Amino acid sequence: MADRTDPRDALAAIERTEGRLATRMHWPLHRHAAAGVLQALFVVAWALPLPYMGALFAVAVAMMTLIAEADRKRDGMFVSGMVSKSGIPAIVVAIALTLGGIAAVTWFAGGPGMWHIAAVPVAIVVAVGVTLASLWWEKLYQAELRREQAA
Amino acid sequence: MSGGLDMVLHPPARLQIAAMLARVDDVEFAVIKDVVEISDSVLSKHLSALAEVGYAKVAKGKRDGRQRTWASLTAKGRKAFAAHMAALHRLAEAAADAVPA
Repeated sequence: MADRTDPRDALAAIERTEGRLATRMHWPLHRHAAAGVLQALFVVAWALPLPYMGALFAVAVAMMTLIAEADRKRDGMFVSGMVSKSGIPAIVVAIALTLGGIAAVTWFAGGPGMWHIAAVPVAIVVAVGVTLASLWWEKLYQAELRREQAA
Repeated sequence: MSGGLDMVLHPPARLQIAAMLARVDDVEFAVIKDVVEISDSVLSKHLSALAEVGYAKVAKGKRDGRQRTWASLTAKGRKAFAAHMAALHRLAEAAADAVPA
């Protein structure tokens, strides 16, 4: 039985808990891809006329809710990207890709709310890039949980 | 508080629960029970204690035809947990330094 008063025992118990948690922290590829598609929708929305832009933003927001609900149903929990400090670089990459994508589609079209065919390849690049960033985030989060376990 | 420790978070099982809640946005009761390896009654008791001081939020909701309980750490709870962890690390380092080489 662990000594309740020893801080080292308390820290060791937390490390064991985080180690058990790490074994559950896996998300299927389609979940990472959903994050990529979501960001791509935000990018494409900027290349559409105002009413369509608003509609696509609404679809993207609804998709965010559906993704969170699907996570809860599948895993019994929801983990947003900001929970992990180690995962911040992956979040920064995903945000940079999205903002870069928005800048690219508006530049190709000559401004927001104007369609240009370049929005399609740009959105594909953003979708793939954010999917990879999401996979990277999972690795960083896993490493964070396991490193603390081994500390 | 004692040595920077938060007495609400001090009980070992409660600390494990808070540690798990700190790593997620929200989590179902059954998952916490599996990860922390405690009984329903012990988990309920500790979640109630955390909720009572505003460290955790407990919500019930129906999903797939079953009543489920969800728990999350509040901003106050996250702050208290981080401070408690910092105090534990300080005490552990002091204990290690006190051991003669």
